[in-house]
Order: sequence, then structure tokens, then C-alpha cells
Amino acid sequence: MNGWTLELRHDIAASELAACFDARAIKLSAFSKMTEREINAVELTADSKSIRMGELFTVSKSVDDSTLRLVGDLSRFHYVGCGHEVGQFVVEGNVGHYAGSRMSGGEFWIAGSTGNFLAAAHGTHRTGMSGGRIVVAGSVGHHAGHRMRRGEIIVNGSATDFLGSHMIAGTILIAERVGESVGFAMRRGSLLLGKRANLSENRFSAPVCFPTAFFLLLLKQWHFEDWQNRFPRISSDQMETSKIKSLLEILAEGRFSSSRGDFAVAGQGEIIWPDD
Amino acid sequence: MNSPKLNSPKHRGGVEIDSTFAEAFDMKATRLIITANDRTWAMAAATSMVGFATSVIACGIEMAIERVRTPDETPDGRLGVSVLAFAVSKTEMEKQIVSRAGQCVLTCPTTALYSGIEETKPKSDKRVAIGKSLRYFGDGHQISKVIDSRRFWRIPVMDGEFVCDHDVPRVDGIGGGNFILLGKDVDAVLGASRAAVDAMRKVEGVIMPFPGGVTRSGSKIGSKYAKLVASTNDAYCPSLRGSRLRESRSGDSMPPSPLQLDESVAMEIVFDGLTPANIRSAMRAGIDAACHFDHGGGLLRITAGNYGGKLGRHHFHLHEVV
Repeated sequence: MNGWTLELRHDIAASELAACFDARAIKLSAFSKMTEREINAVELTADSKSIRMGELFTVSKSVDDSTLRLVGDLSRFHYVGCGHEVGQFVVEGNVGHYAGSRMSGGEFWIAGSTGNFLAAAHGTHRTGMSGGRIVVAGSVGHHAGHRMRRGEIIVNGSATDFLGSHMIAGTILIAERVGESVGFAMRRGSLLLGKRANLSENRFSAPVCFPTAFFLLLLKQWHFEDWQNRFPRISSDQMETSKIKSLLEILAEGRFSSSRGDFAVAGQGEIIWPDD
Repeated sequence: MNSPKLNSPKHRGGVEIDSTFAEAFDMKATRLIITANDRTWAMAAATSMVGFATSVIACGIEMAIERVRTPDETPDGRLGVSVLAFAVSKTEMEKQIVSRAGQCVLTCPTTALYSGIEETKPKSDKRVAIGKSLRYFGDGHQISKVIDSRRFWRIPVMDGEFVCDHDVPRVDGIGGGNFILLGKDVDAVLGASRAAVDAMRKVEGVIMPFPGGVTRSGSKIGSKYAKLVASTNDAYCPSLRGSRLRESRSGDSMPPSPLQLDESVAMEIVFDGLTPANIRSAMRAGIDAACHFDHGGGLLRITAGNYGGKLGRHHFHLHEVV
């Protein structure tokens, strides 16, 4: 598979950019079969108009196969990495809403923060992310992991409200704080949090601790030692992931509390945070 | 098993090496890694799991501890023990592994059970179930987790959670590697056998499933009793040397004993390996160690068992190996 780098053109002032771009057309699986000219001609929806990729990005072939790199602040670009299924999708900057939505495989690395509905279901779809891994160096907005069915979301920063709402399965790690209504209507899946969340006693069990080898397994199998080496072009300040590892190390030592729920939907999900 | 000599014997450390070959067979194999909070529990589970697994003839599977694994070598970073398993069919392999994992590892405090065979790309569809079957013990409270396309199960148990792989790859292995040590007295032959087994245990990918790695009851295929699939290897029983000679003189079809007059003890080392190279390395290490053991002249000869090359497609010639 060919790899490409798309760099947001520096000669476009932020005020000239549309308020909202639909980035669903930016797909590694499609771009890997295209020429540079074809990629430049791909049209994105911007507000109510269409705009060619070449007018927004400088397109160049990447030395890394099976990798699509987007460089720049893409906060106004929604659905980035939507439906990503194989290979690596790397964003060196922020992304908008619904990033990694309905992703089913591969890896999605974001050296910035995301808007709302990260990896969530969208439109009439019943399920969100169903496989693969999303790593976010910054923070994520509301409803991250909404209706997530499988896969991993790993966030070095914090999350706002409704994290993992209606989650069906999968793992979400938030290394820092989370907002309200965490795990709302979650059925299964694991939420690993850096700080204790406000959980309703009616919906979640009293916190308990138990011995398990699982976090030791996770700590080793996520291969943190390889993470930075895989992105030599991204500075370690940008792709900061140290808090993720620190949290997992605490959990692996067995210093955690766990609540199960959401009982309102007969859920058996788990929310885990380190002991104070 | 027969032991046809092909050429003139070689000598090593004063011990005669027959010009013959060990005949080995294709088997289904896998490696499992058991980890635990400490060596005691990892070893307890492994010892229990490989119990009564000396021979496929009556145990259904051949298993033994391969070696202790350092935390760097285990999936969860705890100390572990790897075991190898060999069976004649995938059905028997799965039946044995699931029941042994369920009764010997799941039950043992603090343990976890993982695959020890490296995954291929694409993933092999030859699998042996572990968590796929054991998860039902969780009675609905079990949790599935997929990490890098590898599915694990977390099953709630009374000390927390039992973590295991969903399934493990099954590979083609080789069973029935062997050589036979012949000598004047039990102490000399056993000492040499122990030295051989100690050396062979250092070879990766090989197990010696019999007690202490040695068997004194080598077998041949079939019996005068119809129900038995195997019976004593009378050719190497010193007590039958005389009768075999008499029967032979009297015109009976039984060939004379391959034991020479001063050879009154025979011990067989049977081993299974993941690859032909593993078998050769183990054989070389074992024979070398036995010949150089201080047996006081009690170890006289080393030979190997085969069926004339008719049954197994792997032939390990002693002279080539040493």
C-alpha cells in the first residue's frame, strides 16, 4: 500500500477556511491506490460547497508504506479517519468531531486533541468503532467511544462528558480527568480512568479491588517502548504518551478500584481508576 | 522396534555408536506458557498439567515442562514455565489441552495461561482452544479482550481473575525421537542417561516426556493379546536374551536378541521436538553427554529404535547426528 503525507497549506489563513469540512473522503484504503493527481482532485464538502484536496493540502508521497499522515490543525475537519480499516492514520494536529468514527481496524494516531464523538456511531449506524486502536496525545470531547463495540481508545489527556456512553465492548483509557455521566448505559467494555469519576450508586456497583494479571498483560502487550520509535517525525512533546503508561503501571500493581455497571441497562461494563 | 545396523559402528568416548537410525513421526504440537505470581505456583500448575502425559499410547498426549521462562519471555511480564504438548490428532490435542488447562491451570492460584507459539501472518487457522472453551466457567461474567488481534479471556475466580488466550496456534511437530543406551550395569547406564537428559533439557523445543526423561519399558507395536496396541520391547529385555536365542535356533521366526552377551541393561530416551533440527540437536547433545559421562566403562553401546523405516517419515541416523 502506498503511503501519503497531506500537509494543510500554510498560505491559507484560518479566516479563509470554511467552518466545517467533511473529511470522510480522506481514506488510506482509497488513497493507497491513487496517484498524486487523483488525490489532488478528490473533493471534500466544505460547508455547502465542494473543494478539491489540492486546494487545501500539499500532497506528497510518504516513505512509510500503509501510512496516511495529515499535518496541520484540522479542528474544522470532521470524520477524519472515519471507517479506517487497515494501516496507520497519523494526524499531526487537532481533529474535529467524529474522528475515527466506525473505525474497524488499523491504527489512528492523533498528536493533538479531538472534538466530540471520537470513534462513535454516526448517522443511522447502531455501532461505533469495531476494531483497531486510536491513540490521542491530547484530550477528547463529549461522547468519546459512543456505542463502541470493539477496539481500543487510549488518551493521554482528559475527556469530557458521556465517555463510553452506550458502549457495547472494547477498552478506553483516559489518563487524566473525565466529565460527567461516564459509562452512561454501557453494557460491557472497560473504562480505565486516571481519576475517579462521579458514578451513580444506582447504576454502578460499589468500588472493589481484585488481583488480576490482565493489566500486566496490557502493559506489556501495548509495547510502549515502540510507540515513539514509530513516529520519528513527530516530536516527543507532540506525541506525549507518558501518562498512559504511568496509569497502566499503577493498575498493573493492583492499586485500583473497580465498579461494574451500568445496572440501568443490565450492563456488566467496568470502570477502573487508581486508588488515591 | 528393530535396530538394523547399516555400516560399521563409530566410537565416541569408548562407547560404540550403532550405524542405525531413530524413526520418528509427524505429530500435532503446541507450546503453552504458564505464568504466576511466583515460581512455586507456576511450577505447580505446569507439573500438574503435564502429569500422566508420558505417551500417546495410553495418555492421549505427550507433555512435559520445556523450561522456566524469565519475565521478559512471558506475555504478562511475570515469571513463567513453558510446556510442550504433542498429540497424534488435532481432536485429541484439543480434548487433552482443554481438560488439563481447566483442571490443572485454571485451578492453580495466581496463574495465567498463554500461547508460546509465535503467530504467523496471516494468522494460522490451525488452533487449539483454551479460553474459547474455558470461558464458560465464568458463567456469563467472563470478559473478552482483544489486544493486537489476539483475543484473551478474563474469567472471574476466587483469587481475582484467570487470564488466558482464546486459542493457541497448533504446529507440526515430531514425536518418537529416541536412542537406547546399553550397558553392563544399571548405575552406569542410568548415570549416562541422566547426563544425556540434563544436556537435552537445554535444547529449546524438545521434551522428554517419560519420568526423568528415561524409560526402561520401551515398547513394540502390537502384542499376542489382541486388545493391546503395544507391548514390551522384548528384543531389548536382557532377561529374554537366552530364550530368544533358543527360539531362534529352534527355527522360530523370532530373530536373535540385538543385545550382546555383556549388555544386561537397556534404557531408552524418547523425545519429541517442534522441528527436525530440534530433534537432531537434542540427540547430539544427549549422546555426547552420555558418552562423556564417567560411567566407568559400564556404558557399552548406543543404538536407536525404528520400524525398518516403514512407519515414520523422519529418520535420524545416529552417525549423521553425532
